[in-house]
Amino acid sequence: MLGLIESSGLTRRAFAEQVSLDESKLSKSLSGARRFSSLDLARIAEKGQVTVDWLITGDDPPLAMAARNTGGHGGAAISLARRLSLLRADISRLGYPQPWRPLADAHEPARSGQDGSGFAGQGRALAAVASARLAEATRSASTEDLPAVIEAAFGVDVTVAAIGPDFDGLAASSGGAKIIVLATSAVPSRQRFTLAHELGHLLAGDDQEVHLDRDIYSPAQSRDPSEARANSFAAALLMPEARLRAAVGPDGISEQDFAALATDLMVSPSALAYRLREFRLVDSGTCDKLRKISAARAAAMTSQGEEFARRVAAATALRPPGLLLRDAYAAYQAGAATLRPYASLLGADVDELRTALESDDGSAGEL
Amino acid sequence: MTEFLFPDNTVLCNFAEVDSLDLLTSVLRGRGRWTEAVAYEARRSARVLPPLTSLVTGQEFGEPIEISADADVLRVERLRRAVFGGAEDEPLRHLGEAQTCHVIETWPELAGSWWISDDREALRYARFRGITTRETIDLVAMAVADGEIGPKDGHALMQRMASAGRHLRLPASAADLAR
Repeated sequence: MLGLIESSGLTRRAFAEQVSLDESKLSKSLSGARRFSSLDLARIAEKGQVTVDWLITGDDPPLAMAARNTGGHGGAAISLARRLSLLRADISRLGYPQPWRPLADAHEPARSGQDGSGFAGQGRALAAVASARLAEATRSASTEDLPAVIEAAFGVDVTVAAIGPDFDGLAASSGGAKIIVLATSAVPSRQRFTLAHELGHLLAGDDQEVHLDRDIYSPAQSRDPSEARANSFAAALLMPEARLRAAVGPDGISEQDFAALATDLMVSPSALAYRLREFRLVDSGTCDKLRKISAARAAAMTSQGEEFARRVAAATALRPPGLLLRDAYAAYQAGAATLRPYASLLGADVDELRTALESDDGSAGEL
Repeated sequence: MTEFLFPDNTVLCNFAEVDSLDLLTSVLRGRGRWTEAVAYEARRSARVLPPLTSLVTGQEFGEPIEISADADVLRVERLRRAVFGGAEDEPLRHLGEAQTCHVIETWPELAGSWWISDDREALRYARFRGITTRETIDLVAMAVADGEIGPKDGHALMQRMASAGRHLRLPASAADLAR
């Protein structure tokens, strides 16, 4: 507390005045003769731009620290992750913990590298287990609503927010909360790859509390082992080897079939071309030719322009975190919370939302 | 056991808006209490509603209840955020609600106290938690029952509150207040 007052550049008297606290009360509290009250601490927190929790416990969660120390869109994204993580921690105490489902311990060697497969191999091994998890639920990664599928299968919250354009996404693992934040994008395949990449970070248990990915395709970033593993995971999850081998015949793959495959898998043609080359299913020359096809052209070549347009629109839309939304509403229904946290997640006015919820009583009448 | 009555700041403002705080205090009969955050909110509201000044400087609600134990402060902060939807970086937002709810729920000497509010969310939550709730309309009905004000005047008083932009549940007629 003394440090906070000193860093404000104010005298004790001036600081006391600014937080509407009697100077003698402040002095007594600082000397330990009186305890700061809940209101004192709230006013001090507001003035000092710190949190009440920090004033009491001194704990500064890494996410909060990262949010303060990161500028621009990245900082905004981390702040959002911090807010959502805190909400999860709070509603966990009300009986709604994050339903996080990591991969079983049996696959620990793949995560830790003990099988000697290297980071890319670890990513592939993790993707195989993750794909099996999806298959158990009769789902796959080649589904349009990938955020909902991942939320259901792994218990991680996925939110899409307007935090671009110089930012792809982040994965936050704070306490019991697991959050993926994606930037809205007019390139759906990039957003999907980012989602799979961030899931890879979380499933690998990468030991930082936050992975901020400004540009998932950046060569510099891919030199980092954990980023290489997450990229390998994403590629294997979204473009499974078996599916690729099945699509390529003994004479290779035609442009038309390649376009159909990219559109079906909802991946970028360039990523798919490189992946085919990785498995030696196409040579370098063919890879160069195929990777120049744009996603829009691939969709047009397969008469899927309409679907493509819908996917672009979906990728540009905001998406609240599905599991938090579900649990905030459940807490409201059970009377454990007001409607305000739910309304806040939706960005809605609470009074208007309540009126809307209560008015849907079948009064529309016969049409 | 004495039952205390904890009006929130919006209720105080309702009566201050129509210059009828004397009616409120007579209904409360010395049982009114407030937490320090509600007293603070009232002090701020007094800048635009001068009748509140007498309440803020007087002793009608006793000394504002301070919450100082670390565990209590942390619980209030979590209630404020998780239940009432206050943001971490707006530490004063919904603090009065969280403090009031906390002390009624967990301090034995205040068990059974009533929480008086016109906020639908706060009322709903409090009822789920087993806290007795009342609204401004109930206080005016109590004043009518006590003979402090006639039903028609009570009805007119509440209409004036609403006309001044206050958000509260209104009686359909004067007869509704004579329950």
